[in-house]
Amino acid sequence: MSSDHRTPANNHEPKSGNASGSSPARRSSLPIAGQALPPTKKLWRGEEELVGGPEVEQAARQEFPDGTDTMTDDVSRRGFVQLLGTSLAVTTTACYRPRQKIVPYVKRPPEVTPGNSLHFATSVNHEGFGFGALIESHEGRPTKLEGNPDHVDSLGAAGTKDQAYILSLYDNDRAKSARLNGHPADWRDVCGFVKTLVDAGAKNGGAGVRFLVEPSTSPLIGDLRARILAKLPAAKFVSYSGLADDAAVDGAKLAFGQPLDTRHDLTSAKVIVALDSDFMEEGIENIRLQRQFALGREPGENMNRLYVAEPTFTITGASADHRLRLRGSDIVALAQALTSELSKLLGRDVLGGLADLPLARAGVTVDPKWVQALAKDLARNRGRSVILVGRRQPAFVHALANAMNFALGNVGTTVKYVTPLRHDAYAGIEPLRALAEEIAAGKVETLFIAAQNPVFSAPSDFKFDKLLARVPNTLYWGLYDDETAKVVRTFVPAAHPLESWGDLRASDGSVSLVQPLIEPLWSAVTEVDFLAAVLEEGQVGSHEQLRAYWSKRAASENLLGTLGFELQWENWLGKGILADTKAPSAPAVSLDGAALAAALRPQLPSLAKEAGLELAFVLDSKVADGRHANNGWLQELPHPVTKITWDNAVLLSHATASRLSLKTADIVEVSLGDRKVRGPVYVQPGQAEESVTVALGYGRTAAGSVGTGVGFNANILRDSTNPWFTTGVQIEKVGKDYPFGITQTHWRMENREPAIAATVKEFEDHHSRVHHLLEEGREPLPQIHKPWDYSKEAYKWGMAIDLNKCTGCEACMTACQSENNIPIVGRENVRIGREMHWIRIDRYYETDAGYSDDFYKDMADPKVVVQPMACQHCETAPCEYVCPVNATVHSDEGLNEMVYNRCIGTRYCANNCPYKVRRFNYLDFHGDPPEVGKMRHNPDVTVRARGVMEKCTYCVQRIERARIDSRIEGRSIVDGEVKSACQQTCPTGAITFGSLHDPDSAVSKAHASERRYSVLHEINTRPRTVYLARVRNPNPELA
Amino acid sequence: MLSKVRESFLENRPIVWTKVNDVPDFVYFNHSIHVSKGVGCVTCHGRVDQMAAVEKAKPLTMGWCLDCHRNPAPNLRPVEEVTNMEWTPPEGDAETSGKALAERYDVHTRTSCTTCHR
Repeated sequence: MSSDHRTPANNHEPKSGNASGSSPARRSSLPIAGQALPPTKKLWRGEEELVGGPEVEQAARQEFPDGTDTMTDDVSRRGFVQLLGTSLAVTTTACYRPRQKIVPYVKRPPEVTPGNSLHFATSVNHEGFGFGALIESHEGRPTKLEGNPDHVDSLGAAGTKDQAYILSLYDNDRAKSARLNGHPADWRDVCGFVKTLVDAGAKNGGAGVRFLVEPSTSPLIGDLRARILAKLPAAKFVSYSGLADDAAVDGAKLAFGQPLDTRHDLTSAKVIVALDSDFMEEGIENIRLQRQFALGREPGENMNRLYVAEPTFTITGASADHRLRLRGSDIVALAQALTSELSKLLGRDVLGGLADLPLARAGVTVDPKWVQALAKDLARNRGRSVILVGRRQPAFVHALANAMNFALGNVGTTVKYVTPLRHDAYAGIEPLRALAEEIAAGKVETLFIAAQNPVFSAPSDFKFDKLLARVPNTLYWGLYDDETAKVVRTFVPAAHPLESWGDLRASDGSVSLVQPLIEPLWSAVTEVDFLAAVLEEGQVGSHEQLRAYWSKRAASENLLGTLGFELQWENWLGKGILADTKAPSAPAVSLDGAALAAALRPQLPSLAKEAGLELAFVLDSKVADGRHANNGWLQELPHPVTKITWDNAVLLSHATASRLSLKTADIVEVSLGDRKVRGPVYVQPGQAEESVTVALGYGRTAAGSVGTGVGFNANILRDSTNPWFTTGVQIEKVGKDYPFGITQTHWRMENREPAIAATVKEFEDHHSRVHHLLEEGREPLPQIHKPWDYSKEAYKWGMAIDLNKCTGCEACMTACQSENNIPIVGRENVRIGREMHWIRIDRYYETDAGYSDDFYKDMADPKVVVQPMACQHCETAPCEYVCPVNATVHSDEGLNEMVYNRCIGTRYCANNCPYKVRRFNYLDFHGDPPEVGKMRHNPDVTVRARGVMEKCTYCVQRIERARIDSRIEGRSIVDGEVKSACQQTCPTGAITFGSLHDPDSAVSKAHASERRYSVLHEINTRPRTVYLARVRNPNPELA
Repeated sequence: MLSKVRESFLENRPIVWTKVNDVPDFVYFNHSIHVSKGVGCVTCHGRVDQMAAVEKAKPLTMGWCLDCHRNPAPNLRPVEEVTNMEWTPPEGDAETSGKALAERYDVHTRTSCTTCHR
């Protein structure tokens, strides 16, 4: 892009509101919905689209990005080898189908019918808590993870990272053998070695023995810890996780005198305030909170209102009614301003002392109008509001929020404080610092590590790899031969969560069992076995340990009811949850504002930051602290807001980037003192000014074949004293044109408004533009052909997607990838538009049309609308007319069917699809995986080969399964029996699917909503998927 | 002749069979719906009881499948006779009795591509 198109002076051309920068005459020549009325806002997807310019013009004329249909040198070489392989295979097997051997069960397990899947309940570890899951298993082979509807934190939904456990189970890069002091060994040898270590350590009560473990709520592990400490009373357990939320525990301790975990309930919340809190993405409650938030978005009297203050866009910020861009270290200024406004409104008895505290960030003023309006809104909704604080914020902010929640009467309704369920209340940097000091002082002789890769995730000033080298005996239990495994003396491969026995507690304390779906694929032991080795029980097995523990406990706590242990155990395993195991109720809390103010005062100096550019670290929404780096599904998932795949980036606001003379794709060196990393710049709309955001978890050096070398390691810059926000950062340009794999701008919208959003007020006004848009998108248009009569068939499949509920979390994308055997293509292929996801989440920035004369303002602070987009199953599908071989045809029930075996790869259908939802296998993306890699595939869906088009099928395999089941039973398919994979996993229930013939079905009701519209209705494709417009609920005082 | 089966059971070692009735991997065939709607084993697998070595009795091609899916009546029998190798339609032609069975079992054959290809 040439520089003159970047200056405001030259920006008068795109002022017309046409994102592609073409003339109004051209606009009016297209019959685009809503063009009759002047636009009140505009939708855009990125900087280049907003600014316009010749490159954008050029790209808009093209169907696909440059290079989509040509082979790059790199690809052609690889492609050639593959072609050669294929043709060799063809010549040897050309005349007859290869003879296949089949190996049946000798004694078939009674529950298995070959061809029918089974679901088993288990739990996966969610930051130490149990997340209830149902695993689909085909003949003993787990293929898909779904949420357990009976589990309090899942409610039937599952997030991206949870679902991706299926892929990591079959990861051929997993560690496969144990090492004892550098030599190959088996578990028996390690157990013997542990015994000698423990016997030696026991002489002084285990004073030199330390256990560095992942935080856990497991009762069995709690029992093992107690037994280990009874044997080695001077030993210590230290919990550490890169995802810890210690500041929240500390904030509760400051406010209420004891370390407490904070739990939220948004069911009755009318005003929700998120202070740098991405509660829809982070933490253990995220799935449940999304569900509760969405339930409160029904337009009307009780619709909730979400205020978000954050430095960089998150999905929570994208869902906000009011979003305030604020540097991470300035959030404290907002918290203090809000405290003082609230103390005026609520009286000074509780918050008075806190309001009088000196300002921590004296130079920072937060928009007083925003703060006052928010304070009034909160005061109007006492007991029905909630303030959430993110884990990056210091305890000071958490304490203020606790005080405000208390003063607002929210404690007991929307907020609850509970005794920490994890064995250690703290699991962050401070416990690790204490351990590091002990190691440095030479006090640690034997260190057992069951925490996930602390060498990579610990702040760099700990120099943890060097420290570990000073411990005479280090034993690490891990899933991968990772950075930590490289520096320890003894290594034991971990069993995958889906191969393990164990137990975990949910956020409400209820216990769920962890049961294996498959024997460990490679030699591996569970965490229970690893710890039990200390008690000389390493060979007992975690299944025996678990049963022994629960049979003892069931007897002593009377958990059996009228059943014997065996029956109750089967019951528990079947449900995945143990009844009557909830935590005791939360302790009563009270607050003394003056005392809290006194306790907070000494912290003020630490909150003051030097002026200048802020460097903010964020845990990545996909790879977290790096633990999921070797998962191709997660790496290829576009970031929910930036839409970057396979990378992290240096995120800057437009103004900050301009000041530093930087633009997107420049490569910069970020330095903090003598620590330096290099990474690509990405100019992010909605980013706080003078704040640089970098995601942790990338730049792994020993992740495996997928994750090693992806992105840059921001952790190198991270210091334990300022782990999240720091200043004094220098940025210097060292290169340009970084080849990002970004999905956001692959297709062009020509100034249409595919995602409709409006405020409650606009919806109430039936003459508003949004009503015209919706009506235009609803009335049937005339058609030359006689429409097909769908009334003769029993079912008429259709879908509705409620934009008001969709948060853009992308759980549906992973569900679809898992259900439909969608391949991973890699960054280079994403860059040239070859991504294969059948469902994508389009993210539109939205600004008022009146802003257009100043695109700095547009860039600075847009709103966001997200829109899931998959095949719309048009009744008059444009793709079908152009296929020369009838490979895409229509079913009598309205499905747009794709017949892979007929497809010859002309790609005419993709060219003619107005929604750009067809995906082409340019290369043999599945390739020839190792045997273990084939095991993840869903046997009910064809694995597509090179040269074949594919797209969303409405999960037709699930429809056909339900059809067969219902016809054998002599009944009809009932509403809700068929759930598409995306619908099933959606945390908010934004997607409904079913038969439109049934007037009472959920999908028929959604289709009848007054917010319903079809995307690109004007081209008369008659899509079966319709959308429900998004409604915003802004505070009238801020409108 | 059954010694291999007995050995397999006693040694808990599966027999490696050669697949005779094979359809391509992109074809999804479900037995349960066919047997519960009155399609006999013999209709697709032939007289296995008379085969010295099991061989493919029918072409198992898409055209052959569709012949029946377009007109199932001649190939239907009472559900209790599904496993009977020697069953023949009663008096009169198979078509008439098959039509009655199709009605009784509510047979709704489908010919949409995704019925078998997903």
